[in-house]
Parts: sequence; C-alpha cells; structure tokens
Amino acid sequence: MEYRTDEQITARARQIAPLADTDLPPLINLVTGVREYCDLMESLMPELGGDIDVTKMSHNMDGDE
Amino acid sequence: MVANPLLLSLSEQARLIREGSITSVELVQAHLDQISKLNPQLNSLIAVDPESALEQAAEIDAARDRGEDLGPLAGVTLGVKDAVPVKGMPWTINSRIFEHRVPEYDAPAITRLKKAGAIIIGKANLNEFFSRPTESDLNPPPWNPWNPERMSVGSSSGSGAALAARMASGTIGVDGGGSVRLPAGAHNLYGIKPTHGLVSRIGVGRSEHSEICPLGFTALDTAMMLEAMVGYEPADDLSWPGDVPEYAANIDTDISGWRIGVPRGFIDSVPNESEVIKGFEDFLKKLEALGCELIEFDIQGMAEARAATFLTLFSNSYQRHQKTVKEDWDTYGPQSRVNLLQGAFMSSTDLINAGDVGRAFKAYFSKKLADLSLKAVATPTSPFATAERSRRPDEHSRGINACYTAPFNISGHPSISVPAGFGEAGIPVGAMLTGETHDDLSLLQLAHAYDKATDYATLSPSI
Repeated sequence: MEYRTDEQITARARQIAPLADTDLPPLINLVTGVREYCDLMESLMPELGGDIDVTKMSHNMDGDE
Repeated sequence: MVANPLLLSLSEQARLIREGSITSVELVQAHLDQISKLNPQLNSLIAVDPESALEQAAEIDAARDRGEDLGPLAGVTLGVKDAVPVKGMPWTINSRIFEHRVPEYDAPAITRLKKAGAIIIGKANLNEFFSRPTESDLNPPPWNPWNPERMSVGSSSGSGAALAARMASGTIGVDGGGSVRLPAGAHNLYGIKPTHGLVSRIGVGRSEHSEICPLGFTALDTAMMLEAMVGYEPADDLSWPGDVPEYAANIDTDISGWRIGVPRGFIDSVPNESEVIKGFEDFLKKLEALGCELIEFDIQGMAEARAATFLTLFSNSYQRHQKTVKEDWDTYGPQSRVNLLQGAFMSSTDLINAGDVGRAFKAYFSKKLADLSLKAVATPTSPFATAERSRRPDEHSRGINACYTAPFNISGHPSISVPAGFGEAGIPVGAMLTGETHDDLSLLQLAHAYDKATDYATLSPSI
C-alpha cells in the first residue's frame, strides 16, 4: 500500500471523490487501519516458491505475538 | 384453535397451515397487524407489500383446499434484507442512491424460497451499504425489540429486529463479516452462514465472501429455510454443484460424544464483556450436558483472517461504487461514502495477499478440525452485548466486533449463531459454532439439540 502519510491519503482522496474537509479525518483514520491490515498481509507472504505458514500467525485477537 | 400463531416457530406455523389448523391468510394478516403495531417504533422493515402477500396466502390456502402438495414453507412469511433483490419490491440497500430502484428479478435464493411456498412480506432495514447506522440513512436505523432504546446490531439489523418482534415467520440476511450471525446473537435468534457456494450469491454481488443466510426462531426454522435456498446455479461461478443433504429431515440426532473445540487462548485475548462470557460458559455447560466433549485447543490466524476478510470487503465495495461515489457523492450518506472509499487505497497486490491469507487460513482451520476430530469450534458470537458498544467509530476497520465471525467469511466455513442468554441491558447475546465446509448439517444438528435443551426459542420481547 503506497498511501502512508496524511498528505498522500488526502491527495488520493481528492482524486476519487469530491470530499469535504470534514470527511478527511475519519477517512484518514480508516485508511490507517487498512494500511495496517495490508502491511500485516504483506508480512505473511512467503519467499518465492514458498507457502504461507499459518503456524507463524498470531494466537490472539490483535495479531500481536 | 391456535391462540396466537405469531408466538409459534416457522416450522410450527408451516405444519399448522398444512394441517388446516390455521390459514395462510390468517397468518399473513397477523403479521401485517404486528407490523402496523410495532414497525413505526422499531423501523425493522422498510417496505411491506400487504396486497401481494395476502393474494399469495389465499392461493396457498386454495391449493391446500384442493389437496395439492404444498412446499415445506407454504404459507409462512419472510422478511428479506433490502440488499437482496425481490421482484417488484424496493431494492435500496437503504441508500438514496437506490431510493427508487425496483428489480425485475428475484435473487435465485429468493426464487427458491418462493418455490418452497414462502411469502415475502417485506424488505428489512439495514445499514446503508452495510456501513455504520446513521440517522441520515434513507431509513433511520432499527431498534432492538428486546430493548427499544438500543439500536439493533447490523448490518442485517432489520432482519434481526423484525423477526424478534414477530413481524414474520423468518428472515433473510446477508453475512459478509458477521452481519447475520451478529444480529442473530443480539436478537435471541438462530442464524447460519452456510458453506460458501451452497446458496448462490447472485443478486448480492458485494463480495465473494458474503452469503445470503436465514435467521429463525429455532435451529429447525433455519434448517428449513436453508434447505430451500441451497442449490446449484450455473450462472454463479462459485455455486456448489455437489449433493446437499436434507437438513430438516436429518436435524434430530444424538450428539453425545461429539468433540467441540474451544480456542480458550484466543477467546481470552478478546475484550469480551462479562455478560458475553457468562452466556458462552452456560452454552458450553449445556453442550457438555448433552454429551459433547469439550476440547481446548490453540488456534492461530484469526486476526489475520479477519483482516483478510475486511480488506476483501473494502476492495469489492469500492470497486462497485467507484463511478457512482465520484458522480453522486452528496447522495450517499456521510458515513457510508467515507467507508466506501477505503478500498481505493489498496493495491492489487494487497488484495491478492488477502486472498492468499484467506486460503491459507481455510486449509489450516480444516486441518485443525480433522486433526482434533472436532465437529465444530465454539466461540462467542460477538464480544459485545449491545450495538452501541460493538460499533466504536475509531475501530471500524479493525472490526473487533467481528473478531469471531469475520475469519470464517474468507475461509468459507459454515458458522451458526445460537441464543446464549441476555446482557444487562436486556439485549440477547449469542454463541457460535463453526464447522467443516459442507458439513452444515452437523452445525444444525448441534444447534437443534441445544435448542431442544433450552427455552430461548419460546421467549419473546415484552414490547
């Protein structure tokens, strides 16, 4: 995911919808959550030719080991 | 003489209609009266078609009088989440974007329910585009009949509220991350998300992991509705072409000796409210009393699978709305339009990663069930006992309220929520059983045995 700063998120948002300024803070909050999820997915990707190993995934609700 | 048919389960209503003890017209009229009485307060249904419902009921009564074979759902009424197309009825997804849309076709699942004799009495309220409920939605949010000062949990909130308020014999919802199981739990109902592919998703189209699902007063009710809905649809590329057992006829079985997994470590990591845990522990005790063996085990990947489910939902949602949200921004509700944009920030690689994680979790969970010889895994349905506490604005994308439900959307495993008591606010809490793909029958059998051993299905809100 390439949108990592508030400025990047705002610029992308302005491209895709006519948002009001008041829409931006909740959107940035949501996209921050999406980014965390995307980063989590990426961290689980195996080396080329490998398989995702669920036994290396978290045991709890937050995904924290 | 039937004192009050509204207090009966769908299966009992259908039996009485078949036997001639009540007419379908009487049942439909009773439901219409209940809707007139309670819907203005609860906002459970957002469209009702009395004329058509009574016409269909009269046809069923006439068919019975002629001695014709009636379908298993003949003469009972269903409310359908307004995300699912029903021919000739509004199809708004509770958004002004679709305020005047009326489909010219039924979703295949609806066609099958109608073929079984069910009468669609109305369309049920929901959160606009499955987002968070707001007063600015086309229709304001439904309230929970168990405590009408509390919102109903969604997104199939109206389906839960309408059924709990006895406005229909059963209801149909859509579950993309828990949106049927969560309202089932919060309304003292049974709600099953079937194995992915058993019920065609044509008409919903929200994501590959959203399922059209039944909610019922009893496990048997959900089994009867599900049995009517399943079946291969060639136009649906993910539709299951294999055989499916008869759920209702086989629901009654001895579950003693069945092994039920309890992922205690994961459950302990969740900020469950005390009422939820009490209901869950009572549920486990009841399963033990029925002869089940509880097996504590360690589960992994629930957080990752939940994340994968939500990323897939976000991406699918934005993909479908990308043109409209740009052109008709102001027509969307302020919550849903911002939520819909989330998927625009993901790359194609992010989406593929999420799919791969989902598939890996699916294989892992199935292997866990097999290795431990488990019929099902038991968890609470939601960590929270009220809608207000389950939807925290700053936690939407993290989906903590769906921490038990959402992993099994992307995995495709069947999962059923059953009643498990009541919280402090008088709102019901649910417990959940999740099993192997295409073994939906075992979940229904477990739920049915539990149903028979408890009195939840006999309880109605005092509203």
